[in-house]
Amino acid sequence: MKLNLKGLSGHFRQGIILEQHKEPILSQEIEKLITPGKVQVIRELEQPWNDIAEISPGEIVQVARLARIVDERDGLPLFRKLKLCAGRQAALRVDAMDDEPYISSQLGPLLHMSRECAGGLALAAKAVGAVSQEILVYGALTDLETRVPKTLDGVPVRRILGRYPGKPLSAQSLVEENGQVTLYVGACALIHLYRAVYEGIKQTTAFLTVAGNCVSAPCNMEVSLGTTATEILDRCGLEAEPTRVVVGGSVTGISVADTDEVKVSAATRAILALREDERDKKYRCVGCGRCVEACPMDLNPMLLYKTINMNLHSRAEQLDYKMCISCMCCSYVCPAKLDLAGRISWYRRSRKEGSRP
Amino acid sequence: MKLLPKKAPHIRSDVSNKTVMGDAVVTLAALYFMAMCYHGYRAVLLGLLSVAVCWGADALCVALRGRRVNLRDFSPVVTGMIIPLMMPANIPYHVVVTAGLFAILVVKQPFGGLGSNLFNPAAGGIAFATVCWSDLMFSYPLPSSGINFFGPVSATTSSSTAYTLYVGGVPIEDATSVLLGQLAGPMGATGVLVICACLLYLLVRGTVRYQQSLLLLFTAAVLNFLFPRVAADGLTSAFYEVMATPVLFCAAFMFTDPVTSPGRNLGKALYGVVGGVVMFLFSRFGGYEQTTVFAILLMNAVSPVLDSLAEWKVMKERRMRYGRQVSIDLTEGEGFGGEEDVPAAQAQEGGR
Repeated sequence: MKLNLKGLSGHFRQGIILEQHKEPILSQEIEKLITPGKVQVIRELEQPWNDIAEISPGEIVQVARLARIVDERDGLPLFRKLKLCAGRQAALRVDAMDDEPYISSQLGPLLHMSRECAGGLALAAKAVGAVSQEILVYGALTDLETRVPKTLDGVPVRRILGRYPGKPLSAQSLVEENGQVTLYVGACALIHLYRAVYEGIKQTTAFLTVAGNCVSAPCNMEVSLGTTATEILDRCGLEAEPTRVVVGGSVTGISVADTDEVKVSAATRAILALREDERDKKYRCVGCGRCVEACPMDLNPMLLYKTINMNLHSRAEQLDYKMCISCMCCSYVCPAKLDLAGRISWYRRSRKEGSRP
Repeated sequence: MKLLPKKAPHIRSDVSNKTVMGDAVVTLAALYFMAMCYHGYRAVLLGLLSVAVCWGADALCVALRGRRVNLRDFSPVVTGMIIPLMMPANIPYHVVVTAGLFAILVVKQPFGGLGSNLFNPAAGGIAFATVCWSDLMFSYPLPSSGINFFGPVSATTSSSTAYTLYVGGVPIEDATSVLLGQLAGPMGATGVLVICACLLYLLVRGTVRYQQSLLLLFTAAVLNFLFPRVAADGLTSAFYEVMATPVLFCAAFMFTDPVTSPGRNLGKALYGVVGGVVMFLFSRFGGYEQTTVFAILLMNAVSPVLDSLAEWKVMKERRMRYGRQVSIDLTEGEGFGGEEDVPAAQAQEGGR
């Protein structure tokens, strides 16, 4: 008999509740900030296709390669992901999660450019010979004014319920479990794939969210690659001087030192200008266990933090530090304001580098 | 725009050590208000003195170690507030001062201060005072007997319900006076209703987990129901053993100290159940009428073992659940070809 201790061990409290701040951005149309003359056609292509029936799976992969499409989900070339999965009976999952506050740069294009998205999905499914398709949307969106449809062009839209992070099981892009391969593809990459195949143009833009409590006109934008963060923030306007400008999500993103240096890449998901109370609050760990409760991977961040600080490598191994998905839940909830997740990721990186010859 | 890079996450929860300790301070202040109603201003004076001694000793130790004293650290305040509440209101001031000094200078700071102490400082201080001045610690003034501030105390003293139970008698106090705290006993640990309200507040705020406090009370109540030590039915026994002794106060404030209890909720649950059994055995076979603090100290020593047990159990579950998944590494592979390739930095920036 198996003793079920899930309730007692706190599985109901896993993850964290975050205020979403997705409206009014999500219900607005996607704005454009495109440098004139930057649109490039694929030179190798004589004529774009008109119908999905005319193009072969191999050609789709080839077009994705020629169009230089980079998946915004992981920053990897889309063609490489498609090529690896071709003929492996993969299940295709479209990532439009945007589970972090402020960000809706995948969900926004999915809702406002659903025709392109669905077309791109059909192409990707054909390229890998997908056995099943699904669009993943974050379920805990309470403040939405726009309705998320149940299906998109016949493909079911699944709402992932629960707290942040919405994707503890899909932190990687290609996962194999019990012989079943699952491929995760970003929603915006599909739009670019659609344009490449039917319009014959390269990926020269990225979809991103510009938001934060300092931005006067927050919006979702389609921006030319290489645009600096300064230009983007100028376009949206700043109400107040931000204390930090973040590239990426408000939870996992990277805070930048100079906005002129930051150029939009295909993997850029958001630019946030935040103003926070930056007073130095430092405490010592009292072992309250909030981080342990919040960890979606059932790790023990406070014990890992202490173990890493004491350089106990075998103990850290035993505590499965490699399973950390850097969702930052532990750092978010920590009442002592310790850099738990940062320390664990740092350790993971340093061990990885150290083990290489 | 030039900025100072900061570490992720860029938003953080409002809960900090200050609010966690602040919750304890707020609830303990409610108990001081109760004590003031029953015993007059001396109760508050005892509390203020104890807090001053504990805070001063703590700050001194922190300064001696060469660290800056953190004014937002309320942990010595909580320790200082708990100690007099477990004592009679007519306790001489030197007992409170000694207990506070022992708690900070012997139980807390030699182990490395906040977060590193093995034993609950307040429990240690009270245990020390119990061993040294058991006659003073166990003669309680009746409520509203008017205790003067200074000089010899001339209140009508009486033994507590815990003593009646200890010698094998059934307490004469009815349920109403037990719930309201109108009986002789430690000045903060008798007002059952107020303590319950405090516990509820701490539970709702998430400062205390039910796995720890409620399971402890539940286990102790069940054991006393099954094996009553007085000539009464199980229900009466369970009621008096849990409500009319300081078990409830300890379950709410000392037993739930995060530093000295397991981190995992599963560990906390184990800690609560084992703690209930230990408290039951201590009250049954212990040498004092009031042994909860000793049971807490013993449990503090067992806590790391229970935590390791829980960690081991969760580790097995975790590896079962996530170990089967194999993620295929995509970071290395062919590029787009042609004149320019995807910059490596760009590939690393995205994703988690």
